[in-house]
Amino acid sequence: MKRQKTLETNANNGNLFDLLSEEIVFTILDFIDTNPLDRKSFSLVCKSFYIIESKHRKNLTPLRQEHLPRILNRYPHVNHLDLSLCPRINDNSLNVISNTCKDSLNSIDLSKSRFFSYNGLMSLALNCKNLVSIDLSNATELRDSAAAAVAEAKNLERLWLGRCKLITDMGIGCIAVGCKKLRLISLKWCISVSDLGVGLIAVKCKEIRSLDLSYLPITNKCLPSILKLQHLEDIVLEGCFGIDDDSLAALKHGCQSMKALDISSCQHISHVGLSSLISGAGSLQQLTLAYACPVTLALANSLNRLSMLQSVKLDGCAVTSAGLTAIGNWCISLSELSLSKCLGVTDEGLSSLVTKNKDLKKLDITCCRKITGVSIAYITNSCTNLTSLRMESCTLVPSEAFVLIGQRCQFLEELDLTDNEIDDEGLKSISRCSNLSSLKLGICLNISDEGLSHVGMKCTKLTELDLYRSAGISDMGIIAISRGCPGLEMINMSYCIDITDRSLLSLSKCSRLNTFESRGCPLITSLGLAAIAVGCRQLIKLDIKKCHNIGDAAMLPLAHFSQNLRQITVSYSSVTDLGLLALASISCLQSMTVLHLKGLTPSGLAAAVLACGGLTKVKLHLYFKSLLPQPLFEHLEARGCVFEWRDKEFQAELDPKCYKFQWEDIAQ
Amino acid sequence: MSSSAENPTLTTEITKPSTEIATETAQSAKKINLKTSDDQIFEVEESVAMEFATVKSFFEDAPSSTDTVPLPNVPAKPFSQVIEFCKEQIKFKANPDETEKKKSNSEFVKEKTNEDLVEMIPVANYLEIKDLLDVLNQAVADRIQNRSVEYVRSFFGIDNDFTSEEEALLREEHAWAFEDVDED
Repeated sequence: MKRQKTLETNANNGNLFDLLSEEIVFTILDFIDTNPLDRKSFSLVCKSFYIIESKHRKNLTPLRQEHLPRILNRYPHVNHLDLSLCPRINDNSLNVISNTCKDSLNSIDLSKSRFFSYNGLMSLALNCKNLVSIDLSNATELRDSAAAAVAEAKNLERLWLGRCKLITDMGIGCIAVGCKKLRLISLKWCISVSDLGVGLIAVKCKEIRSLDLSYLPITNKCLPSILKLQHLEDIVLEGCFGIDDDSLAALKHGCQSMKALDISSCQHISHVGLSSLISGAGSLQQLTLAYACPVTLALANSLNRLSMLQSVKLDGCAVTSAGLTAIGNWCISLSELSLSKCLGVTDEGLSSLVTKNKDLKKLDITCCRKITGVSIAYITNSCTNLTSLRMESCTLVPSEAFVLIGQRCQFLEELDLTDNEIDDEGLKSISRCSNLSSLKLGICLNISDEGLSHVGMKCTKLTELDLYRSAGISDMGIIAISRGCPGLEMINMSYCIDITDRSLLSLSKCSRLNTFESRGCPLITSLGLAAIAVGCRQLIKLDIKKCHNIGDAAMLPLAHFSQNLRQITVSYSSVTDLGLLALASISCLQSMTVLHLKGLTPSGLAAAVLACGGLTKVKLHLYFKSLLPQPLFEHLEARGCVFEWRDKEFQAELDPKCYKFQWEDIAQ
Repeated sequence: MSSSAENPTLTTEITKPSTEIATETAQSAKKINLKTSDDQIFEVEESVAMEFATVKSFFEDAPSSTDTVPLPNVPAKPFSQVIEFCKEQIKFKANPDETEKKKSNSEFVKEKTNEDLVEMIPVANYLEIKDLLDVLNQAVADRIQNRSVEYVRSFFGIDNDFTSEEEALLREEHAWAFEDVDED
């Protein structure tokens, strides 16, 4: 390739980059992956960088289907095409793609598009011989003819058909016969598919590793052939109400290769049926029984022989202490356990379980409202290698217990303490967990800046911090976090009413910030948000609902700098027509929530939504529906935009403490 | 030194280890002279010079050579910094400690100017020092992240060869045509 670069700074050496192979520039490009804008800047440097970047790119996520021909020509080596930002992909677009990409394409995501049919799919299947992966989830209008087109993709290995409600056994049969190399198929919510279709997949596609049959009207009839699949590792039977104990009892043999089984919400399967389903499944590693049968002594005993089991999820099940104790007595030590929202978890049951499971890495005891400091003492004493502890709303756990967590579980990376009694002493102790990356402290009313400052000083790897309605937090705490945690990506300070622009100015130094939520912070202004816009170019999600002092002066810098913004909520702010129009120029903006803006006129709103071509979701007050012409909405809906109408009255804000009491009243 | 050790067909089980030991002791204090493109001669310890795959293969072809090795594509300034890096690396060979090594590497690049980094890349590439090349490529990627096109141009010292029309067209395409990669 001809290079025209010169190194002005180094006249003696002339064309230093002439000595570099493309391979080296490729490696530099490999390392640039966090911010979409960086690759774009790179390709604009000069012609040869442009060419190198064009050759290097393998994955492409287009924003508009009308530009597809040009960008596909620019990037000839793209092999993964993610069209989830283009809701209007139609047969014409698929023709362009299949004729341009041809054999180089091996994976395509159409899960958010609804305007294509079997014609486009046929073109893909016939022209792109190397296609191994297609995501057709949410294509609710596709019929069996489309499935027959997919069946022409002979090399297909992964296929997602979630919510393709009109595809029947006939279509699935075509796929089973055509796509013999399938390793993964998801039929979740394909409610027209029954035992016949699933049975055909099992008989014809011998390579299947992963099978998702959630919410299908299937019975025991297809199970024997599924369980005979030699390589089956992962099977999801969530919400298959047609499978019951009686039918499972008739199973002759289990599946030896099975590693993960999910029978969540299968109301008619008890421990008896489960036993037959897992008979012979000696290598089972993951078992998910959420909202399924009660966790009793009998259930625990029936799982006793699974010597490879690592992860058990029992979310929302009724459990007994005897059942938990029996799980503790299994000969193995689990690495992951979830008891989220389980009824009947007591100190007695949980303590005896964790005492035996010393290798636990992840524990979820969300909403186990009966447990006290006793459980926490046992957990921290026994499970010192925990990396993830989620314990939202364990309201009987006293503040002293949180000190133990910091003292004994120093490998924690994820900690969810939402709605707990933790205080500053607890936070100080938790700041010893130097690997902490996600910390949730929403509705923790006993913490203040002092405790949070310790986290800021010690937890340098923090990427996610949730302070939703933790009203004791103000600028000092946030400033400590911004200084100590430069890698911060997500912060929620909603309803921390004392936060001012000082916090925002300091957070603007966290250049990786992508999610910023500050609902109901009355003191922050456009000035602070403008600083965020300038400093945090990777912003994807922004929520400034009920920030009365934020207006158009912040929307203009956002429009200029935040080219990655996808989702914005500006309800109850001071944004007007002008600000909304400015936002409309952000090319990847998809979702806008615009309720109760005093300065918004019908014509301003219409201009903004028309100008913002990438919109897929707009939340509006019902008031506008009658004020704007119906054809406008029809036009936007044809572009792939969905409108959600609200007619809530304007609401005044509650005091945060008062909020919690009210919330507890509802909970009880 | 016999050339038999280099020739597998002639190597016997007895001669091979003995020549290796002899080689090591004989060369332990040996220095190698390397001449840069701007005619400066560097006297480098052999253990360091053997980090440069290009130089190493030179000696594999001519094991007994005592000549000064010419490095026609390597200017003195970046070369001295490359030597500095390799000296540090050798310490970790005897005593591998990944965290310490990472720390040392990041300190090495931290002190360097943009110009230093860009100049070292072709040298590391020519001398085939893979570890250094990775460290430098990562450092360059880190420094041009979150920066404007103008900054990246001046970083590499590259002139813009797009016409203003071409550039405007590309910028428009970038704003409207595609998002970037998601993680694999």
